[in-house]
Amino acid sequence: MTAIPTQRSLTVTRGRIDIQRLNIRFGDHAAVEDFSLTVTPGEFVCLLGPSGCGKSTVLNSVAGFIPPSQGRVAVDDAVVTRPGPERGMVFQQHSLFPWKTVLENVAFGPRMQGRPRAEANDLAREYLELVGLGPSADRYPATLSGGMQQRVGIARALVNHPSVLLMDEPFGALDAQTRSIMQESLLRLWGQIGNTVLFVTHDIDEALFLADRVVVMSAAPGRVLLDLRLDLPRPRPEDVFASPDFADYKRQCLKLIRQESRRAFDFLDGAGI
Amino acid sequence: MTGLPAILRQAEPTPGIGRLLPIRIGRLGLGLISLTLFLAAWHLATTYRLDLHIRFVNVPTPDSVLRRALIAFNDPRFIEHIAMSLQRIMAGFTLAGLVAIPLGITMGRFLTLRWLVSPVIEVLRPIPAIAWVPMSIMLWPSNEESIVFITFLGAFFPILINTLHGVNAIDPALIRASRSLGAGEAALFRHVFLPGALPHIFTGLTVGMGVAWVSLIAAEMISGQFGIGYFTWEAYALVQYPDIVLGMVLIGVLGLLSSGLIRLAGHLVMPWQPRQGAKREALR
Repeated sequence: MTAIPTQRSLTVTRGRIDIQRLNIRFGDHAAVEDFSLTVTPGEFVCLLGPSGCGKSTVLNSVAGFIPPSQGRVAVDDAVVTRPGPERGMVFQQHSLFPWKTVLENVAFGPRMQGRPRAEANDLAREYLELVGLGPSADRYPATLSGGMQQRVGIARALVNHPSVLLMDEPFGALDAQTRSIMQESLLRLWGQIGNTVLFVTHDIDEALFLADRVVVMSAAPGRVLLDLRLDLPRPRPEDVFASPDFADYKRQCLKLIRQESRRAFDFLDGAGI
Repeated sequence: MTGLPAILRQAEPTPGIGRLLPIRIGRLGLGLISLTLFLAAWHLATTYRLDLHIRFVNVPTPDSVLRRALIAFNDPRFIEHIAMSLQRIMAGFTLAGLVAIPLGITMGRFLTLRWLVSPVIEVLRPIPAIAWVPMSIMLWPSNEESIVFITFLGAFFPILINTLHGVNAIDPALIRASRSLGAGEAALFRHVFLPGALPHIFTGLTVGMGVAWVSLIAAEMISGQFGIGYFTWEAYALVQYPDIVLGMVLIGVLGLLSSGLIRLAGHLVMPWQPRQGAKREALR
């Protein structure tokens, strides 16, 4: 039994995300308004926007944590009504079970799917090797660095063979060096596994380095401002940051985000805060 | 325990290999000195029958207590007193844990239950166990049951309140993570709420054990036959002063041992938790 696809299959068939006219309100506050997005199987899409723009809310809605007030969220034609392992979630930080070892954390998903312990452990070990943490299997999360913890988080999501990987600013709490290493290894991993990734970030460089498509969102209530298809080489060279295309994309995103951040602040000023 | 030396090295301005060992020896030494001084003061005060408003005239000397203790521990009746008290503590404390921990976790999980149960708890909680003695005697058909009930009450509230706090202190991200990994409600209890609340539960158990002893001794003094509380009170009534002190010391030692056992159990059940002492050393 080989659980990990060794070669990225050319035709990924699972992992279509359909978000249609999504509206999410918390009481009087409209967090997301009329947000539509279709992600094709195997695509790597970054949701980019100023803080508080509702990008995490959209992600949490796809994950099944936040029900839409209006509109429809579907993955592979199944309307999302609850969280599930076919939509793997990687959180910002501190989401590993502190009382479980690294191995037990990763084996948790397969155990919940009813696999016997030995089989779940084997699977978990395989994925820990994949993220380079095989030797740390028996350690507790508190003894790992932030970057290692996030790698466990990724292995824990991937071990369930999700058709969609949802990542909520997974590298936001890491230092700059660790972050860029993590971004590179995420791309390598994705090159192997090739499932759909929906990745939330407020870091323009990160979005442009990782994604096939960058969706820029407005300040709250979040709407789609720009849907940018990146024409950058894959696998991404490390010096992609220096290319003229990259600079051009960055300028476009930066302009929009500045505008939106300012709009958000003006709104706060107007409210007398 | 893993990774601890690194923490220590960072926290200590003067690096030292085996720095922990001198600290341990120093701590042990100070402990011994403190106990010796206490015994010496007791010995002097009682031998010279000090009368400084507080009167040591009738207080037995340490060696008279020791002599009584040697006799008492060979007396099966005395052993039975101890066994009785331990049995009552075990029964009351275990029952309290069995009821309070599941109740606390469920109350933490379901707000409706919490709002339903909390008012009663908040009203009953401030009533000291000793005030329950008359009511308990009325409620329970046998003396034994009423004493266990009072011990139970003493342990129950600290365990319940701490369990509840423990559930509330769990990071919501962990709940969401486990649900997105496919955990149902039962798995959530077993893998998230229970282990997540464990550190607080053990705080509750330690506090609860202390209050259980207080309650037990009070109950035994008032309504008991047998038990260390009864033994101590009876010694006073029979003017057996060394026995009073023997009873007190015994209560102290048993209380210490039982909370030590709980702490030990805590370390065994929660291997992921850094030890208290180690944390404190690292914070110096």
